[in-house]
Amino acid sequence: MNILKNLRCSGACFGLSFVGAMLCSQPAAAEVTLLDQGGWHFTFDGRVNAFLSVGQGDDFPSPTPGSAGKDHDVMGTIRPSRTPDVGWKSSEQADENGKYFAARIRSGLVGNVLGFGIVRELTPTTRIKGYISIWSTVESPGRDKWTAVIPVTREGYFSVTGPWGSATVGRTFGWFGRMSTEIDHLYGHGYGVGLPCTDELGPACGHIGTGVAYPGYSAGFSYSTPSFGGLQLHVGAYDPIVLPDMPLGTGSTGAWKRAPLLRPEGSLTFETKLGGTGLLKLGVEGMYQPLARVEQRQVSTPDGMGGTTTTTVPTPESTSVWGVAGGARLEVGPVRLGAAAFRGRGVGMTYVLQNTSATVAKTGEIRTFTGIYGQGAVMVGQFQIAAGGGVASADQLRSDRLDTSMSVIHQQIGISGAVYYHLTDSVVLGLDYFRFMARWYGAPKSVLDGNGNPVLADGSLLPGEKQDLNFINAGVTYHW
Amino acid sequence: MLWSAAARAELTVAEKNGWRLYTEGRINTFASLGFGEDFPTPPPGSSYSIVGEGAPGAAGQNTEQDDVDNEYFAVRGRNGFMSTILGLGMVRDLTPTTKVRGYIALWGHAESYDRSRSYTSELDVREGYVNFDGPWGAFNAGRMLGLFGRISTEIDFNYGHNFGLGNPCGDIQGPTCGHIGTGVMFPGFASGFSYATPKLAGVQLQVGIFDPVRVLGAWNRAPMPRPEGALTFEQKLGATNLLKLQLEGMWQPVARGTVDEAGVADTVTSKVWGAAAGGRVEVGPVRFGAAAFMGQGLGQYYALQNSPVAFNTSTKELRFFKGLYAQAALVLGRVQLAAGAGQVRVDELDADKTNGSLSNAKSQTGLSAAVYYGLSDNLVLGLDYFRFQTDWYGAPIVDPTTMAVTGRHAPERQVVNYINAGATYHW
Repeated sequence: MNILKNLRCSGACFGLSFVGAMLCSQPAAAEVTLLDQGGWHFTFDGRVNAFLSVGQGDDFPSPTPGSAGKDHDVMGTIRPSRTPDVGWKSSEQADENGKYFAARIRSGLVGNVLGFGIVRELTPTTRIKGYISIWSTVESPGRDKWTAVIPVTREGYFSVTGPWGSATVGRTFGWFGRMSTEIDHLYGHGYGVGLPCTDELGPACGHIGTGVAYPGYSAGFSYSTPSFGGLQLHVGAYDPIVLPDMPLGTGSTGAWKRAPLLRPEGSLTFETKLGGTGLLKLGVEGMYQPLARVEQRQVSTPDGMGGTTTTTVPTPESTSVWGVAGGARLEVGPVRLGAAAFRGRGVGMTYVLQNTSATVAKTGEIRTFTGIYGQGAVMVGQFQIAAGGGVASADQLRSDRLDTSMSVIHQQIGISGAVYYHLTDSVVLGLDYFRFMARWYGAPKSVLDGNGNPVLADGSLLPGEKQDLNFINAGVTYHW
Repeated sequence: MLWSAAARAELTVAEKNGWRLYTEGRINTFASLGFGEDFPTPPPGSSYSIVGEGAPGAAGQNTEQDDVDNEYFAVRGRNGFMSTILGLGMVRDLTPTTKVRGYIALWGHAESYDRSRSYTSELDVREGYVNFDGPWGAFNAGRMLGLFGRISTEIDFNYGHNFGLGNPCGDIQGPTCGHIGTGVMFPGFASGFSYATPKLAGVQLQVGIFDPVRVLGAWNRAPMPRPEGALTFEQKLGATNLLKLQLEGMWQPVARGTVDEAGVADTVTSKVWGAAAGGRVEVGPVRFGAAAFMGQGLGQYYALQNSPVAFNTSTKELRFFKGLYAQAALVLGRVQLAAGAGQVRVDELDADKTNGSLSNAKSQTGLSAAVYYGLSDNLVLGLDYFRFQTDWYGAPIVDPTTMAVTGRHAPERQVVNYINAGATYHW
């Protein structure tokens, strides 16, 4: 929840000015200090929201006809329930024509949140803050009324902040992807839904997955310098992630299960006021993580009798995931503009380093992803009118053009519009529209060999599958 | 009921700058002794199944605690009808007459899941809503209790098992059921929007739409939100007496895909619906409540229960349910005496009558008694008894040659008794 607050501290408590800043630092947007006793300050922040979310359009596409022997797979069709993957697959809501039309009552981009903080002055210039936030959703998982809504502790950290900067220890928001996420929260979907991440369970995604790279939460240590004329450096080391076999049941051999070292992430930001109310913020971000695995390789050696002996030898292999991103946002008068882009290997389309079916190929190669996102908003009194567009795309590997059994995801495109009305400084009504378009490369054309097995034809591709979905979301948010 | 209004109200933790943080909640644990019959078995030589055998919560109670005679005798430390709850609310005046409130309730468990300490004890966020309340009525948005089934649940809560346990409704993990599943239809929690009018001469209308629920395994498509409603009349009778009457309804369209004989994909539609009514009266020390419900595809415990008892697994037809429940209580100072009875019945489909492979659930019946003692405004001791009886129709006997129904196996019956004793601290 702290990502949503007006934190202009010099430290690593994100250096962001999310929804709070958008509301011109009105007190309701910040955490509420409820108790001051014996030098301890107890703060409480949170939100509750619900949206009627109506979706209409194509459900997950069927394979383009034409593969020899049997249909190829469309990447994303097999995925763990309640987990975003590529494309958008409903929970069995498609009609006989493969169309989706359904309404749910969902949480927004930010779910229901309870945030508790305990602050104390360590010295006259240094303070320590412990903070825990608990997130949940309003909707039942998978439209099953009795399934428990299990809350998630997304944040649990302490930070020490002083004139020397800020150090944060614990479970926090990562640095890579913050700029694009900040733009979406502030100007796009802080009080809306955008794209529901999955049909089963929220919180929703806004433009995440269509150009916004969501940093996600990890255990880590981070440090932020003080602001030098608006320039601030943030560095952190985070709990490593692995890329195990995905998706389930596709026979992928591409698992990267060893991640022995912490993942460095960093961000360099420049933020300056423009006049009385204007603002310019620029940020560049990066992250890197080595990955490894031990493969059982068959090695042939001379047997001394003119033949060879084949043995299986454990062989170390290594690779890495990395990403670079940059973005900017500008506030001039009532106008808000933001743009961001990212590129990186293994970054994924939705949240950073998410292990979707697109991340690792069957060959073990890790795909490279690119995202670009633009968002505008106009503040007119208590109204905020917003529009955005973004694309996330996956590079096609050489091996993808040889694998006749799979059509690989190419792009996810999002176009959004929204109107928010701030009824008070703590209650916001929201109406937003989101168009989601997914495009696949198409599977390589195949023919049957003499044994009746499909093999590569001429190297050309079948027409790529596509999915077009529209969502209209209307609801209310109460935040404190 | 056993505690003062002040103790029952929200407990303000802090108040500053127009914001008020409050909490409410409870912690309880009961020693729950069960004895009687474990899940019935088909007669030797027969090969049919009994509904509920492999689906906890479908019908009867199937545990792994049965002895060589298929008898059940076991004691557990359990939560009660209400579990361990931490509720937090943040209130603010929106206008001089309208308040806005955010409320989130976390429900936890006292007992380990399925008697295994290797499971983590997970919380369930049963409520998380924003409420606007003013002279124009009240509007809720978020995760909250449904409207259909409220009056029977309210009667059980107020007069029956608020500080008790009742039927554990399964041996795995609570919270427990009280009379839910034996005449009480629990609304369950769902995301939704609801509006309640102001009370006009005691009459209040509540309407809402709620996140649709799939009937898994049969009707997997639920494209539209579910309307639910309740019409209430509530009147104080003198200084301390009360009369409350309530009508409730619910309707949800569902659909499923099929493929016809020509191989053409099609969609079949149906609906789950329910109607319920009840009333409760408080006169002097006497409390009495009664409620009934009926509807298609409801389930026995909560509306839109995902269970194979809700539909025929072959034809996917939704079964029809009826429930009846009565509860009385006598409040004598700090002591409350309670007794209740209820039954839920499942109608047999034509397809069930010719299906020799299955004995379907016919009814679940509960008889209960309880005594509660309020040690203080916030601490209540409870001792309650519950007799849980499940009856099945007995599987039809089908001639394998002619496929004609020639008779019916003897209907199965399961009777389990529970005695529960514990304490509840609430604020």
